[in-house]
Amino acid sequence: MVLVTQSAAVFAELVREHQAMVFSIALRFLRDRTVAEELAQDVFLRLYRELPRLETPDHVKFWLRKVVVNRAMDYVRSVHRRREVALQEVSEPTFAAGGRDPLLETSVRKLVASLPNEARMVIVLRYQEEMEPHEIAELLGLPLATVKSRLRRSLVLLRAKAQRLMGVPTR
Amino acid sequence: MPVNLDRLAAKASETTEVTLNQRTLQLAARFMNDEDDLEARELVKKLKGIYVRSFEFDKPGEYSQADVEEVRAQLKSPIWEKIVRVHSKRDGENAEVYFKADSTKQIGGLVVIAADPRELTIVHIDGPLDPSDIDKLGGDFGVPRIEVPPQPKPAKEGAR
Amino acid sequence: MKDFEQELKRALRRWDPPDSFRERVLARVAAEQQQPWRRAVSLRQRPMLRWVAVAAIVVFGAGKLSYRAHEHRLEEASGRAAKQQVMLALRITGNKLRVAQKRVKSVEGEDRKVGKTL
Repeated sequence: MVLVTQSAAVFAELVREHQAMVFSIALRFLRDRTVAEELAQDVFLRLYRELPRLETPDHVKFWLRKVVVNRAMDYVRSVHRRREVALQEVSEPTFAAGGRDPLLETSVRKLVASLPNEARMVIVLRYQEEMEPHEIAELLGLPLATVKSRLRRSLVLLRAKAQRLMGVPTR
Repeated sequence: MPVNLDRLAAKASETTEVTLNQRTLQLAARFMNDEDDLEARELVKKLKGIYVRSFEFDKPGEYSQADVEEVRAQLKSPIWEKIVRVHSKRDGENAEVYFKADSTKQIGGLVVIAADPRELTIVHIDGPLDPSDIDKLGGDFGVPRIEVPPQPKPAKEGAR
Repeated sequence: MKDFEQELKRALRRWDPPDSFRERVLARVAAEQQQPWRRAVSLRQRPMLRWVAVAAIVVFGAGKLSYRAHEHRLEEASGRAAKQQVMLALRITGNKLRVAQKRVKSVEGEDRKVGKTL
């Protein structure tokens, strides 16, 4: 089955360009690959409907981030209780060894997963998406001071927890 | 939630959030088919939302009475009436219960604010509740048989 | 802190979705649009293409069926999770109402004692 119209081709290219971004944001929150893929598909379906109203590539990227963030936060708030959800081992892809410690990276990812929802989203947007604080504030509709405060507190908390973790024997 | 809690979340070391809108409640009700669930299901099917926010703090004093007052202020409207307020200086526990009037003389909603030195919990149940609903829902899933006056009474002050 | 921030960036690298993700998105879009494909040539003029179209519909239809089964499983998982959340919320509500009730009872008890001594 092939979509042969020009707008369909443009859309297909947008999916190729942004699928990792949308999927990764969803997966960081939902911690379930199947549900994350489902949510990511929903987001692109909405994009297809919305596309005539989006004017520039930057606008598309902003729109995609906003929608996947909102949908992921809504889903987590409505379905998950943070404290009782065990930090499930998300089946993670194997990266080529680049002299990095995969156990440390897994631990850091788990620590990020343990943050409260809003703080976790700020960390993901800052360090996964490499957005600046003012961009995060605009996306989330929060005051810049709130974003900076959450980043600061979350980093302190994560770093302290990571240091404690590193001191604990893992074998 | 009728209240804005971002500032409290920013201060808390741990936050528990449960947000169940009407759609999710309807979905949940479809799966509440065990015998033990039936009473709860009849309640849940009527509701518009259940919202729980619980904040834990590392040390006493990390949230202030002003923070709680901000929450209370958002319930100072003609539609919300404080039914119960109890305060214990001895152990610092406070609890308040608010009912929301609705046009059909049912209880349109319920808010509970429970504060102790290291934990603050706000519960909002949005939706029609008969006094008999609240009275019936005791025991198994934790909502006790609370005596509900036929009409809302002025708040009682706890012993000081 | 800078080292830790670098560690965060490394740990939070993006992941690629499964290989067939894009195809599934396009399939959903097509299903929604109910225009699986456009053709330059009418099917009546090219009988062989008509059979290809039928085969594609069957394959696509099977894909839709398994997608619906998948959706049903997701809905069931969501429903059970939502039920757990409801029961949790009601338990928390009950605990906190109990605090209020206990305090009211203890105040009423003290009031009665005071009343007896007056």
